[in-house]
Amino acid sequence: MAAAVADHHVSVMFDLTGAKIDSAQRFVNRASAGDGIVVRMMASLLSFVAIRLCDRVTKNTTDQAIWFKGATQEIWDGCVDLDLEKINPLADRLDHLLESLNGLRTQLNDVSETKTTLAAAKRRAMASCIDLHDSVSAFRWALLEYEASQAVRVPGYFAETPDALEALFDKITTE
Amino acid sequence: MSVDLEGRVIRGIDIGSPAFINRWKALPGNVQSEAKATIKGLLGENIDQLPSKLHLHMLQGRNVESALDPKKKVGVWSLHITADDRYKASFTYEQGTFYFRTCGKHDDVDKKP
Repeated sequence: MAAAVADHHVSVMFDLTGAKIDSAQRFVNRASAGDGIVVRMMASLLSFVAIRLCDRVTKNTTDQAIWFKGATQEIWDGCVDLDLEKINPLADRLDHLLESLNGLRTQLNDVSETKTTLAAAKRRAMASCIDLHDSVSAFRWALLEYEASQAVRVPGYFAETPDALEALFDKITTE
Repeated sequence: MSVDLEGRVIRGIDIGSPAFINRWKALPGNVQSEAKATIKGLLGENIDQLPSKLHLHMLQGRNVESALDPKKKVGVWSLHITADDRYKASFTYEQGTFYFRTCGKHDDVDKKP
């Protein structure tokens, strides 16, 4: 029974991870490609529309960051039993998400601040984008640490001198 | 080379983690060269006096299995292995040895784009 519950937790964790990455990626793509352009156009004409769009970025990225922080904590707490085969593909998708987030942040940065309220909304949106970026990055690293924790160290890879260490690096690169 | 008054000198490096080895192999060649020089430069240095550019720090509230005693939990450290801060590695520090765990891209956000 306990094993069944644990297995269920594992699959839910992975299913949600994939879905969460997709969801965040979709939002960031949409915000960059469509909303970003609209925000920049509207900023000079209708600042209230631009503010609403900035606020939407803030709300969405904040929600996403909360999930990634929680998932990161679960990994570090040892609450999950992840399939090591899935870590690489997930890490690649997270890399792509991080790149997209950088793009969105650059677009937000280009929004002209025609009103004080818009400047404040823009600052909030940029701060929440940074928070999401940090959260995704920390989650990605937690996956690598999880993988490291599962690995059984092998003897014979210890060095006390630079030359011996050089030889070890040559060995692991070529073997 | 530092005088080891308080047992804080890095006397050995262990890279025998399959996770570290696999991640290392995936690093670009130029990154491997730079990272290798960084890691070799650690030997004989005092852990408390490493250059700040390495961003050496213990991950707060994160403990992992000891490389020496699987029943024990120890703190995990990380440092930047390239000067552009794009890559980092993690390790445990036990009895004067850095036991490397993993390495890879470190996508830190530039707060001032």
